[in-house]
Amino acid sequence: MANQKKRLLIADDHPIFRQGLKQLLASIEWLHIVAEAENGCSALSQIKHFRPDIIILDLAMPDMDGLTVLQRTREEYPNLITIILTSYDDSAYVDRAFELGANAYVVKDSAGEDLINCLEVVVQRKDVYISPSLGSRFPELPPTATEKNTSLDSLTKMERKILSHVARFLTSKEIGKELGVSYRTVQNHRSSICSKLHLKGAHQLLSFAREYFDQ
Amino acid sequence: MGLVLINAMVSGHSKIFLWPETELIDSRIILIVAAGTIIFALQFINHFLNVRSHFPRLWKASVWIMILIIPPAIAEFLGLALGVANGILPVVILVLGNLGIFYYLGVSIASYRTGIKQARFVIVAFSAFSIGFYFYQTFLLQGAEPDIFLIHMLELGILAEGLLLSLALADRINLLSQQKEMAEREALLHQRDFSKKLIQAQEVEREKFSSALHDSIGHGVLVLKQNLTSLANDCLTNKGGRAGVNVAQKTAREIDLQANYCSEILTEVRQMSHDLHPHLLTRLGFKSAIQETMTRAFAAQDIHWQMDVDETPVEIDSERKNLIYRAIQESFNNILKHAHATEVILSLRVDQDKILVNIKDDGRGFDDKVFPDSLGINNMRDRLKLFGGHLSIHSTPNIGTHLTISVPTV
Repeated sequence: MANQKKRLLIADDHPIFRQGLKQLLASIEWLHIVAEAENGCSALSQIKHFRPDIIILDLAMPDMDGLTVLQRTREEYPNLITIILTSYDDSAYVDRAFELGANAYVVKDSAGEDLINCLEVVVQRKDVYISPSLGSRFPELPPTATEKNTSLDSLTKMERKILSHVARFLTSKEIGKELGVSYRTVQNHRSSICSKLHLKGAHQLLSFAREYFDQ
Repeated sequence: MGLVLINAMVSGHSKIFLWPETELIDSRIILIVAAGTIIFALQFINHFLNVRSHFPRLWKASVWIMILIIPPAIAEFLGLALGVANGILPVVILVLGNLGIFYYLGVSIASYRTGIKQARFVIVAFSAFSIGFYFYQTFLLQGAEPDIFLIHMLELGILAEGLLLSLALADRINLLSQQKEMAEREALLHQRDFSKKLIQAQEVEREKFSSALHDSIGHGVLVLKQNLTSLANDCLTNKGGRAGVNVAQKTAREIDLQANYCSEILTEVRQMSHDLHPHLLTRLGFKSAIQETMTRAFAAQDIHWQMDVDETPVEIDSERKNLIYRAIQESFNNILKHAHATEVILSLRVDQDKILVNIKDDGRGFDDKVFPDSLGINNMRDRLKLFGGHLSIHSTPNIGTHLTISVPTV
């Protein structure tokens, strides 16, 4: 455990929620809440003034949203631990938040159970944390260029043909019709291509195909 | 002018009054003037009645007359024989000129019959001229007994033509302004109709949200409140009883149930907030917003989906952005409601000054000649049109539907 108390700033525009949060965090003895901010701009100036170690940041705030605050603070305070605490469960926000260098993403639904655990993980173990309810939606990172190139050779002739048809913006039904094979066959080839190219999430195939064939 | 000049030359007045000092110029210049007059008249009528677009074949014929009439006129003027017998060239010009007159009459009658109203005075004008001209020609060629009417028939014809053509011009101006007025009125009606539809659509949308608020969320919170109240009552009545531990456990389970219930309501609220305002679009742009929308719309229905969204940064105002997003959302709704698709693909391209969206499904499609009205496409098309955008849709039964949206970035 740390010898010194960690300084925390809460940025959220709902006073009731901030109140509840303070009560919840009061039980953590190594934590000291130094300030509260009710919008993005005030969060920025308070970070400058109080130099907290940790910030709990809401995404939707008036004036300036949480993602912008995160972006602005990332360069200036690289050691600031940022926990996004929001009611949005869209994976796009999760992706973007981690892209911008957030340390944790917690949804408000389960803040009660998750937050203490989260603080434990990010502060003591210096790891990243995502609310378990979002677990299945962990960012699907696109494969790297080298991954793509090495695995392209492993495609069969038919798979390449199908990939070129995908790039022409054709549905599996249309591809099947053009190549004289069944819909099922096309689908099977497609999933085989995806696994060979390490394309997680089937929807990445189209953009990959079009990029590859430069359509 | 041309006709007056020809008349003056034919009658010999030009020789007396216009150029008394020159010899024999009339017979040479007259054909050039005649040819010029015919060409001018052909051009006039072609433009006046817009023959080129209404009767392209007739228009070609007039071009041939114009082309054919030039060489004999020039040859005659320069005194070249062109290898034909003397006196043939004037006859050629005369024949072509007559053809021209038939052309004027033919075209104006045909135009009038196809509903081009402004042809009416042209018909009368050229009829008057032709009558005068043919009487005069008969008089010239057959040496009929010249009386006062026959001599001045051509002048009368020309006079009548001039008068009537000016009436035709006035008529045309009148008709054009009427057409313009009508178009303006139609545009206004269309605009009103569109506003009405917009308001209706807005009302429908509000009704949807109002009932969602009242029925699902309002009702949900009410049930939650009742459950909590009865839970509190239970706690109060059992407080300190012998079965205290059991009650505490039961209460904990009950509270847990209510918390789950809260989660359900929350999901509903999220969905509604998402539908009301595309916050992802504003904060993270097209790719994230479309990806999220496709996941929400299709994943639960087991519909495969693919997307390719161009991430080229583009300067575009939020109104246009929302418009594109709403159009995409609307077409997804249509796919879910009508298409019975198993796959949906989308591409969004930034093409210099416009954004191009293609959406394709492999559903049951429809005959695009009998376009189903229920799709709300017309409303979407109108909204796109307001921003200079465009929507097209192609569908083949059992193959699927392909929808294209394009919106200029400025």
